[in-house]
Amino acid sequence: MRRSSLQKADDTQLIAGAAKGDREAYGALYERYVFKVFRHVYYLTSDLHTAEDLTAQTFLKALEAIPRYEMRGVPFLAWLLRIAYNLTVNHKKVRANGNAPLPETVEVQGTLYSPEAACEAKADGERVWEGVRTLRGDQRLVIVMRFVDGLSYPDIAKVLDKSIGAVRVIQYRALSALRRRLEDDLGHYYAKSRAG
Amino acid sequence: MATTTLSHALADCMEFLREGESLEACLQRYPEYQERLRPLLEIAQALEDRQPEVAPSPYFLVELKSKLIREKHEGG
Repeated sequence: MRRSSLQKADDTQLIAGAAKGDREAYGALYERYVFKVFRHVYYLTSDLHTAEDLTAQTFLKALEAIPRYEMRGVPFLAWLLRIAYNLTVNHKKVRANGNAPLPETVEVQGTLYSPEAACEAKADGERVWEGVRTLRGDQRLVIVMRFVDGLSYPDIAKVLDKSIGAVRVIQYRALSALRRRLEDDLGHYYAKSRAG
Repeated sequence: MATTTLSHALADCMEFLREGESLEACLQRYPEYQERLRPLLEIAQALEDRQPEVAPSPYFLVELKSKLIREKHEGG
């Protein structure tokens, strides 16, 4: 396929081509999904180099497995994220490093109207995402799949091999845990202010 | 049972927020759970709006694509 037609091709055409050994078709799939896979792994590991390494492993593993991918199963992105998640879990078992803090260089999205508002919004955004990094494994994963990857509940359920109801309950517990953590943080902050 | 009902109401409200409905309008749909849902939906909105931006390095992107195409070529 030519580059322009590769960009227009849908996933089904590209996957079929890649499964037959069309390297350009696989390259097009890579370009389409590499940022999503990277972001997913980054939000689970909190480390840029580890995220790059696991992203590379994900695409290499998917390359081997793509002839066995079934179109009627999970969407291609969810399939890739399942590979990425399994690799991340294995990596964490080796490194046991799941609660690293946010890197200092992260930038916060959003419309900012003043330096004060910018600082406040950035602090709020970092605080809430730092909280995500302290959640237990399944809660953190559901939050990342929902908010970062933008997967639907049925797709998350397929990736995790759970019911849709179970995914919703995990999401509810994750947000409740986040709320408690943020309240604790604010409590400490105000106690410190009063003491100072 | 209460957790299941609340988790369903929360998921519903999050969908309505994504579709552009206001927080107050979403909460009106579940008046009996307003107090419990409000703080969770505020956190959900913060998670939605304030995602740290991250991206792999351009060097990494080019290197990996080159490797994938090479491996597929050599393998296939």
